[in-house]
Amino acid sequence: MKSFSNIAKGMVALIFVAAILLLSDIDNRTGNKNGNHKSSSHKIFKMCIIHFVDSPNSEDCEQGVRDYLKDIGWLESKDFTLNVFKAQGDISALNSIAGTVTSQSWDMIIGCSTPTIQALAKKKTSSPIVFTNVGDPLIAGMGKSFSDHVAGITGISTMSDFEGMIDLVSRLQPEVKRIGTVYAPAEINSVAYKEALEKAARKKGIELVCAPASTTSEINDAAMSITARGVGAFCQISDNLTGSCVTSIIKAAEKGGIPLYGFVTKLKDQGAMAIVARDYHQAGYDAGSMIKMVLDGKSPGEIPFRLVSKTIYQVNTTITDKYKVRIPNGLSENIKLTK
Amino acid sequence: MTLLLGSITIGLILAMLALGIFISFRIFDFPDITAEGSFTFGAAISAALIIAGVNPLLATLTSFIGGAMAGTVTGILHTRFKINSLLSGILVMTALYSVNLHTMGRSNLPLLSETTIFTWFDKLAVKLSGEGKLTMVLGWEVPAKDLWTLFFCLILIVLVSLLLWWFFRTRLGTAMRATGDNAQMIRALGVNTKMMIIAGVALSNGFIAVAGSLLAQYQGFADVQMGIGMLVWGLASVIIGEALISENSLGLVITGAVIGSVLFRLLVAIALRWGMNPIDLKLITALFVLLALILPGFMKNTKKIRLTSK
Repeated sequence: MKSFSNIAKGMVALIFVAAILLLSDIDNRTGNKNGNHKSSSHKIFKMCIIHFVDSPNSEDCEQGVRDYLKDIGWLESKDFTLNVFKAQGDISALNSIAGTVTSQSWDMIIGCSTPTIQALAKKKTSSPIVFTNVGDPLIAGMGKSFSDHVAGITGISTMSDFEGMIDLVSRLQPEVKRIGTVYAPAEINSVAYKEALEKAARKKGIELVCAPASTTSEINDAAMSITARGVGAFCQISDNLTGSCVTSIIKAAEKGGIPLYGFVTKLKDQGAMAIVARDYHQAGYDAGSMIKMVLDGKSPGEIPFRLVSKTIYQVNTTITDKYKVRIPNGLSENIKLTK
Repeated sequence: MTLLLGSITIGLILAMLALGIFISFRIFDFPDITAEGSFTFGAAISAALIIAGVNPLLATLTSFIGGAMAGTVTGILHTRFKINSLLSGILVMTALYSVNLHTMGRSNLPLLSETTIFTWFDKLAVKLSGEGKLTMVLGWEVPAKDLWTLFFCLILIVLVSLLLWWFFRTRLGTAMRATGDNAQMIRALGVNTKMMIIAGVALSNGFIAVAGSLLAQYQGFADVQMGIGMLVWGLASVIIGEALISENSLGLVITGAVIGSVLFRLLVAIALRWGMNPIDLKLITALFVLLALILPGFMKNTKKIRLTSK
């Protein structure tokens, strides 16, 4: 009998905790739902954004969304609310967050990064989802093509401009035949980017040297191993892992006397010689315009995925001087030079 | 309500992980870190097989074998080569990271449009209660599908628990338990304790791999990073279960591990639902485990005081 009372104790604890959870979820009860909607004549859109990691890219995206909403004259808490969730790079936490979010009703769920959108896509939710900062939505399993995709989800792809990058490298440093990058084998977008960069480089007869890193502590070693293998330039691809501690790659590059080209806007302030960046702020801004379309009543399934609308080319002349890189004539016509 | 159902379902799936960790940590007193690798290994194997068109049930069973193989390697490293148990676990876990990438061919395999065990559950649910039907539970509208999925997971975990309970009462199972309790004694009775440890760690990792496989099928993708932190989750479930129920009888401890796993997920869900800062999530997780560790001792003490004061 003792064993039964023990199990009963466990069950009571379970029921107690479940009851607390249900009590905190009382807003979503069917009975309460109708009242909320009718009471306000001016609708406040209830939105949330989910980040997988804290990286400059995802911060930029979030800011971009906010700026778009600001530009169309919407005020936070007056016209919309935006809850922010962050999973700190933990897949099980991400799943819990996705579960929590999809169990509530939102006017809009914004998924930032590839793992986030995958976790969201599997959960059944009636709330529309717009993603941004997703490298390749097709590899992530979001559809067959940009226009033929999963219903209820649309968004912005931030696939980098690899050909533009290789083109810039060969104009600034025509002698360079080897470039290097650190990548994260654990991230599907990182691997896809690495391969795309490799392909673009090979077309111009440039070899890509890459080193894998699976945790932030391995990044420095990986970067050092690349400088040791005699590359002429770093072309650091952007992903979640290297994005959060790119400064250690820049430092390793500096120590090795090698200039770094980046795919992210923020790198221009952190010591990159040149950037060819999909503007992540723009990615958020573009997602903002999709969010508006969906809130205006268009179904996400009808809106095709889009690439970020803006690419930024910048060359930092202070750093080109440092590495004695000569800026060819005519470069400044379509590329911004900064100091 | 959907949140509650989802949390319980994941809790039941991860109960399999808790059972695996219970075998290595509790029965064999073997701190086995392989878990974090074999969890992902299970997910990787079944995701790769399912995408290749293999029957999902067969894929899940194969992931059990894969996990058991990983466990065997850890066991052999420890018993034959006398490598410290923690270190042999670390070695195999680290190696599995690369093996997992090879198994999947890339870091993340989406299963959104593939047939998994959970698609079967969905289909069965549709047959039982009709397409897209909503059921009212305590005033909440819930898709009947979710309820059925929960129910099927419950049946699955009860069956697995019963199987484990039965196994540990057979001659082999009893010898295994004795190996963890008093190795010297059981050696004197003529049992090869090395074989027992290898078999036990293999069994443990087999269960953990199945948990990984089921979670991948439930969440719709396998990711090479999904095992990170799983050891702590599983261990926390076992400890919470022990604290709540009992540490003595085998059946109770197994029940405790399952209840602990579900309870742990519910606590995390509450923390999230209350809008706690997600940055604090790990801190809160650690606090739960700490509470589970100190509460039982605390409760015993108060009991004693009450008894002596009588």
